[in-house]
Amino acid sequence: MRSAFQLAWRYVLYHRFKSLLMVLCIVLTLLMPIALSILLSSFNRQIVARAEATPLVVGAKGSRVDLAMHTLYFKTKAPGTLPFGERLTSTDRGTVIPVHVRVTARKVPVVGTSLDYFEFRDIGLASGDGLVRIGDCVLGSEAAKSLGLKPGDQLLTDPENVFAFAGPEPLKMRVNGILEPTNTPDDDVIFVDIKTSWVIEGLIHGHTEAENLESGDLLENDAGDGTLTAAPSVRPYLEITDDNIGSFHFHGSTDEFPVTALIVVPDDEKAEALLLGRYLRDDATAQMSEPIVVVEELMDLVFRVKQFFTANAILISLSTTLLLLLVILLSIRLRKGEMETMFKIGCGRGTMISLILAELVIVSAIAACCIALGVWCVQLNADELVRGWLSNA
Amino acid sequence: MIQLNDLQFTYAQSGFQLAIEALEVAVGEKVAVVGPSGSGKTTLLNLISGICVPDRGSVQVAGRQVEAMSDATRRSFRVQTIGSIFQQFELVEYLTVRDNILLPYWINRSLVLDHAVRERVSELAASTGIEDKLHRRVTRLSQGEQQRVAICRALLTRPHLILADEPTGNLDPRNKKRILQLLFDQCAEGEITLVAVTHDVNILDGFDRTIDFEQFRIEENGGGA
Repeated sequence: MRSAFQLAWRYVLYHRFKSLLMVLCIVLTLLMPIALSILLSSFNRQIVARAEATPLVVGAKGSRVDLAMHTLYFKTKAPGTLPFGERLTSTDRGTVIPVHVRVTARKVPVVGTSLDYFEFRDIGLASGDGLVRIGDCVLGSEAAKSLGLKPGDQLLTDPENVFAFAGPEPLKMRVNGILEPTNTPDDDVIFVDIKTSWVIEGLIHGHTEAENLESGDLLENDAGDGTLTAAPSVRPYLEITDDNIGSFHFHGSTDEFPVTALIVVPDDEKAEALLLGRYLRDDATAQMSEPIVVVEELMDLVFRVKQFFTANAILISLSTTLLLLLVILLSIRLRKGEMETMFKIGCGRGTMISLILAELVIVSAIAACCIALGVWCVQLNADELVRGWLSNA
Repeated sequence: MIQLNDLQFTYAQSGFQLAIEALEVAVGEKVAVVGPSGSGKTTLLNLISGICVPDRGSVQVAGRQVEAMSDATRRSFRVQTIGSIFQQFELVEYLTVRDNILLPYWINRSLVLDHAVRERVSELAASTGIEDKLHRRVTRLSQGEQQRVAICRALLTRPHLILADEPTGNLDPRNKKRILQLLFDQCAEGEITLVAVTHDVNILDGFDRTIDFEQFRIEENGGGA
């Protein structure tokens, strides 16, 4: 048997291209469904964990899935905005944390929130300080790496679009700290205070003090109906500094300002039931949902799709097995001369069969090693891959 | 060395029949078997080596009745007693020269591959002039060199009998002479009996005896050898 393996090994080495193709066929056929299963398992674990850690979310009426994914992963577009004042519906029964994600900085989402968010998610600082004043930002660990920024650096927000001349101008933010890695989507975003996100949108602004302007520069038009239009020479500040922070102000009430979602952490189960009930009323202008319910519905759908993949993988495995069988049979036919010579010299049929089996065992063993290596690699990187995919979806 | 008595063999598919009343080859004798294509020369070699079993009669080689042996015994007997040389060399392309010579030891458990055998490979390679090519693949050798490898393979087990089927049939005239002389020298050295099938009348000089297949009764209904 040992010599059968030695001969088979020499055959495999000599016909390395054919052997490699056979190995590749086996590896691809078996590794793909295994890898998919590992990735799906990691996807399920991560998405469920994130959803379980987020009890309730409130958002504009529309897709529950969009609202849940937007609040959990920040990259999916929210179904709409709701006024910040909507928080007041829930503040008597729990803690309300605003989430406002509408702008980016160097393509990285800027999440406007409150300090409660960091406590709620249990995210600490790796370096620098937290959000001290408006205009400050703290970066998730991966975002800091990808942007190459550290505390003390500055970061400019992206304009809404390159032709938005009339829109708010980008804000130069001060990077005040870097967050500890959490292996969650929080690593991939930039956090600012909710008021900073309103500054970025132009709802809170600061500009040259009126007393420092010539009277002619202040107003371009006084229509006499109370509407005043500032002249172009009245420059809005593009950066918040200790010197100009006092000039930043807003018109109206912040309760009217938009947020894309609210995370509600109810005081207890009863509070949760009562809060959910409030949003079931016909006159409710927003929706409240439990992310875990939405995610479980989503995963149910994903697992149904997976069943199709599994059936497909079984069929592909069968057809690959048949093809390999065909290759082996053709190979035996091609080796007929060699087999006849061996028989004439004194080789038994059993030895010939063991030669072919040894070749199969060697090819299968190499394939098994490749599969094991592939599975190990996928397992090692599955969480990271899925997290990246979820963050970029 | 070889005794055939009242031998009859028929190919079931073609109906080709070979019948030999009596044939004897002495120990150390060099016998050439000649005859037209399809006359059954190769069938004779297959009967002597036990690859084919006669329908009737007996085949005695080195004092043992070949037709009475079991398949496994015949295989062991063949690998231990008989060395085979073929027209197309029949070397295994994915093995080196050394591994091709060692092939009988790779494929039959009745032979033990030890240091002495490995030494003998080197000796045989040296005596046939291919000692510097032992690690090469056989596909990179010339035809003359390939037949030398086949001769080494046939001689490795120190057989009592060598059956050569058209050993020079695939060689140019210069190589033909050299290979044949090499075969004769090796057989003389080891007192090995040689039965070589050929249809080349130009190489018969070195043989002790020539058996013309025309003398045997042959009923030919199709191809035979």
